[in-house]
Amino acid sequence: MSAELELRWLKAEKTKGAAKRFAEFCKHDIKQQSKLDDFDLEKYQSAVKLVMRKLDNSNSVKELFNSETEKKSKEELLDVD
Amino acid sequence: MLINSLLAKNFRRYHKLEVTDIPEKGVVTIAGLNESGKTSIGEAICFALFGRTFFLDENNLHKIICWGRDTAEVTLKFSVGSNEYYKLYRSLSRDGVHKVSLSKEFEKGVSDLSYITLDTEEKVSDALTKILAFDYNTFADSFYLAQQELTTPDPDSSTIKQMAGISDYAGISDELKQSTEEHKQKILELSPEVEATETALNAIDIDETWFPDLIDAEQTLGDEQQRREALIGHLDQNETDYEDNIKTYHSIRRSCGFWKYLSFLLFPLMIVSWLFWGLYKSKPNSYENMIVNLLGIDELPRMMTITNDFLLPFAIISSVLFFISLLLKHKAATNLGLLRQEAKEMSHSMREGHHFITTQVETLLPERVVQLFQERKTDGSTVLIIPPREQFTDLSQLIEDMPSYKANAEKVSSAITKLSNSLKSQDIEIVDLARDLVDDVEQERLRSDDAGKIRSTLKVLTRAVDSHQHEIDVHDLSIALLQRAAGGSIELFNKNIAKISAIALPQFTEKRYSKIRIAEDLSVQVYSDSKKDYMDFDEISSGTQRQIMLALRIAMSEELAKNTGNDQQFIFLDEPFAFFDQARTKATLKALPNISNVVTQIWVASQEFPENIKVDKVINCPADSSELVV
Repeated sequence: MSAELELRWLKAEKTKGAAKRFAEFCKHDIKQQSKLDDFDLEKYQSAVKLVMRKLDNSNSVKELFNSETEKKSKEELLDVD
Repeated sequence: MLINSLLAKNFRRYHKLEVTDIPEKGVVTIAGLNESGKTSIGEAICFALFGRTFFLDENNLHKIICWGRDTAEVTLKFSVGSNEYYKLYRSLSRDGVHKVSLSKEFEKGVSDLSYITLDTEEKVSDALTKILAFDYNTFADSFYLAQQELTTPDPDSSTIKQMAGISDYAGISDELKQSTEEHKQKILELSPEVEATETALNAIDIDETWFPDLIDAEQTLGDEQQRREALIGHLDQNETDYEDNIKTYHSIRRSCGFWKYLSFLLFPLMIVSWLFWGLYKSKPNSYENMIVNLLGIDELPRMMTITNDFLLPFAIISSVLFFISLLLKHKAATNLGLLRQEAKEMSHSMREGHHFITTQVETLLPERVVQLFQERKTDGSTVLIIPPREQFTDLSQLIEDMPSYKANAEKVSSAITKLSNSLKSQDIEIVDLARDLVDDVEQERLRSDDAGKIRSTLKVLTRAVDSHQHEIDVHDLSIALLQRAAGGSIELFNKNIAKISAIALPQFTEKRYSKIRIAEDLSVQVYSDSKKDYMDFDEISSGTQRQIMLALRIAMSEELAKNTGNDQQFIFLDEPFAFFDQARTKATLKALPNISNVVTQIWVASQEFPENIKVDKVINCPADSSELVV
């Protein structure tokens, strides 16, 4: 349980900006929230994951360019054909 | 974000503008007289990034095109973080054609062949939003200080939220609230369907145990019917078999007695004749002496002749007869055993029949099924499955006597007939009940199928409602989490602003003011070392106010840069020293490179700069040329 409360899967150091601050905040916040009677770890983790997904744009720029590369590679292949 | 180079063609007053070798850290000064194109350099950066300038929005943007030229172009190379390099190209023609492309370099300085290019306005805009993490308004409120634009910050502005790093939180929170409402709406839409399905299920009022009970009863009645029909067949056969067998049994029993008696007689004769023959052959003198002693000497010759001629055949014949009689006796005994076994089986069938007719089938059925049969029972109906209808007082004795064929054949026949009739009567009733039950089972099966389908539908609906509710719970939790995180961020933001400003302020004011206090509403108080107290913002001179605001601006820009993931950031300050005297300007300019570790590339445009101030790149805008290459 203590390991789960450390949110080890949440790698703050691999994110940046708002996502990083949020990840760091959650690692601190969960220790306070887990003391509450109605604390639900599964839902808390789902909430963190949901917000992190929306915050973490660090990969989306790469994806944007990668998809463009793939598209161009296909076009080049078609041109060769 | 740091600017690596800026190239422009036909932009504002410049036919050609090239600014390269820009230091990543330090002060870049842009000096020149009025109308020399200082501001145009900042506008070119702004146009490249956002397709507009501080002074010209989209509607008046054509004014950026140099007089007498058709198309203005700007190429801006910039870096984000330590290893992301981009080339941004934007152009605008007089006929309104706006082109833009964004390329990402794999490595700094590698040729254009290695670029991946996005070439539509939508894609570039999307990519820039993600790369820069701030929009034009935030840029204009932080990293781009336009001429004479230096005001106190508005705590409710989106820029401040972005600087504090909570604009994303606010945006996501709004998005989640919207999504929560949609999930609630979905639940509301599903509710009537759920209620209708529950009502339909309640209307069927299915009893989960009733169908298995009916199936059990149907199976039991089927088994009982089969067993009775099989037994009736056996009994009918037994009726004739016993009558036939009893005669055979007694006949065989008599022959068995005869053969037994014969073998009893033949056995001593066979033994004696073989003994005499043995004696005669082995010890003839002894045999003769025995004859003489028994019959006298006179009979000896005759007896010897008889012995010699007939004793051996006699011994052989008596032996053969003895073994035949033994064999026949054994065969008769075997047949008797078989007949007794048959009789035993017949008696077993009768005992089973007796058990059937003295056992009420209803005791084998589920209680509620029997209750159903009783409810259906009408006067005169034979329905109840009871029956010992016949009394079989002597049946037990008959069953006892049958294996030894002591039971009277007529009595047995009569008992079998009665048994058989009772079983047939019972069988008919069972068939009738089973027939009724088939309808009940079929009806209940259909009801059960209907209930199953409705239950499946209800399960799907309930699962959908649960899923929406789970999403609502997670969204609510996320919103609460974001609110707590935002609260923490604002607190941290204010602390950091005060901290960074406290570093800048003494350097700007030559230590006249050393501390700054920022309230939650971003109202500013400054600690005067000479007055030993905090002063409200409007109590200090306008020059000092602008110094404080400049310090605050840089501090907030640093926070914005950090909160948007930029470790290093440029800032463009256009005429920041307009109300400064020489001393303030010198002190501020001297302090600028050392204030922040994040806001490291500082562009400052001014008509003139104090002498003997070390800067990292100097751009002098020519008053009489439309080309600038530095």
